[in-house]
Amino acid sequence: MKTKNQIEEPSWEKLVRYITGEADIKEAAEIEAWAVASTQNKEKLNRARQLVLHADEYYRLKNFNQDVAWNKIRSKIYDTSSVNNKTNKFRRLSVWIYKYAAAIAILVLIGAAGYFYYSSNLFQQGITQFSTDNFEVVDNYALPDGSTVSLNGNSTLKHPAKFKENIREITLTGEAYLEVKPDENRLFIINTNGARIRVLGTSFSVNAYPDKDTLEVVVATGAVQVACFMDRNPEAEKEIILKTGEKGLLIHSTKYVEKSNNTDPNYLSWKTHDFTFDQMPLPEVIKLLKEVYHTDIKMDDDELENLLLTARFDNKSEKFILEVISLTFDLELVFRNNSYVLSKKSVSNN
Amino acid sequence: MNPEPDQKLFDRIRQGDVKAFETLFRAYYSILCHYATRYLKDTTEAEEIVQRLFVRLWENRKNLKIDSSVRNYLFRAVKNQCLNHLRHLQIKDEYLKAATSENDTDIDEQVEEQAEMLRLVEKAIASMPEKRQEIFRLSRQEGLKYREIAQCLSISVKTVETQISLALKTLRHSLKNHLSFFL
Repeated sequence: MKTKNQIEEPSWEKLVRYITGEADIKEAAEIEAWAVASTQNKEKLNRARQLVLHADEYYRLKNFNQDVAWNKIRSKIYDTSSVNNKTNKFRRLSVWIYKYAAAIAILVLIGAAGYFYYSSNLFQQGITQFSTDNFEVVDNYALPDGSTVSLNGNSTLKHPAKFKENIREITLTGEAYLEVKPDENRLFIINTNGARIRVLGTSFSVNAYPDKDTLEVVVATGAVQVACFMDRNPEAEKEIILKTGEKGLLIHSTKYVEKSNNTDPNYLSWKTHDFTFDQMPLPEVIKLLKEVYHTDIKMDDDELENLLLTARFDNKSEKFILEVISLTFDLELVFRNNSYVLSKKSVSNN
Repeated sequence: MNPEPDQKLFDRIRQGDVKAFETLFRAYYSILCHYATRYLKDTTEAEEIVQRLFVRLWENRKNLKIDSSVRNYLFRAVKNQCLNHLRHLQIKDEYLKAATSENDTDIDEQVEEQAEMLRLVEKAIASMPEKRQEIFRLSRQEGLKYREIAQCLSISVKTVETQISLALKTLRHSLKNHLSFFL
């Protein structure tokens, strides 16, 4: 096997081992000797190499996750028609993890990037987690059964890739508005800190931030049942049923549960950018605008605090709303140092 | 993707059809990101550029006028954004000059060839049994060695070797008509 004419063609497996970098020094030398023996051999090696290169290119392409990207873009496009478009569906973000802990250790060791989109420890197969950033709002995220969830900032949603046959269960922290598809055969259950919400109807909002002492559920249509756990003792569960227009409030520290009629017309403003102000003191209006649009608004005069606003806005920009306010009360509006400032008009005109 | 259906899609987008916009996005996103990485090494930056492009496209949908095919337009826009970015980073002029001399028909041909190749690869991989696909993916996408794959899936190294060899054999068969043009 020493002379050029006598070098055997390597087996396909050997060739593949060489190209993928698995061949030991001896094997590698043999293959390289074979390759230089003739242009034909060289070509064969080259073509085999190209196969791997093309495969690598293909996987590089797959690394660009369309679903994540589309979710990002979707939330940047405020489209009022999509609020009513119930057929809008887009795929969910999936994080698949192997069953074998050893495998996870290996993957982490070699830094397999792109596997964990949001760093979290999910050691169960098939759980999908979706989180929003601080000021991010995501509209109409589709659950496996077609129900939709709109998430406010700093919120996390967890659900199985496929709902079980007899029950639909998700975990939620933060703030969300849900529209649940009616399914007589399957209950819809939301687990959130301190409470388990059983859905008997269709659309409602949940406010359950982990660092807040309160949990709030407001029902838009249909009915939900809110059960909260007391000291992990299921016997001590307090249960209330909320119907359309009602609000449920749970205070974690005191385990206080209360039902009331929802009087806040702006509980969904974070999502819809619709506002209804009925003789609302201007400071409260400003506070709400700041929460929804995440820009700073200052009032330069103490006198402004006594002003009451009555107005309705349907998905308008913050600038538009502030301009209307300044016109209504004959105020001056400027944008200075990253903040809107409302002040009384100066007496002298320039 | 022939130009005519794209034009119709774009007309619907002009009218504010989000579903149409999503279709366009899903059809081009990966390929555009891949194209952007020819200019930018950073894949994260490449993705951000393409995402920004789509957002701007949507925001200006009513005013947009596209002379040539939609595909050419998108690729040209991505390339311009990448070059802007490079200029911003003050990359050497010779590199920029070479990049800017590329004309539209060049982009068209290269993109078409590459797209065809990737289509064939995808088809070939999809035709393989699932286990083989997974083993091959762990090798190429995750960069695992045979030993590591074997440990990960609790199979023998020999099995890994055999499966990867078979996978490449399948690829060789699918791409045999295209390989001789590349050197």
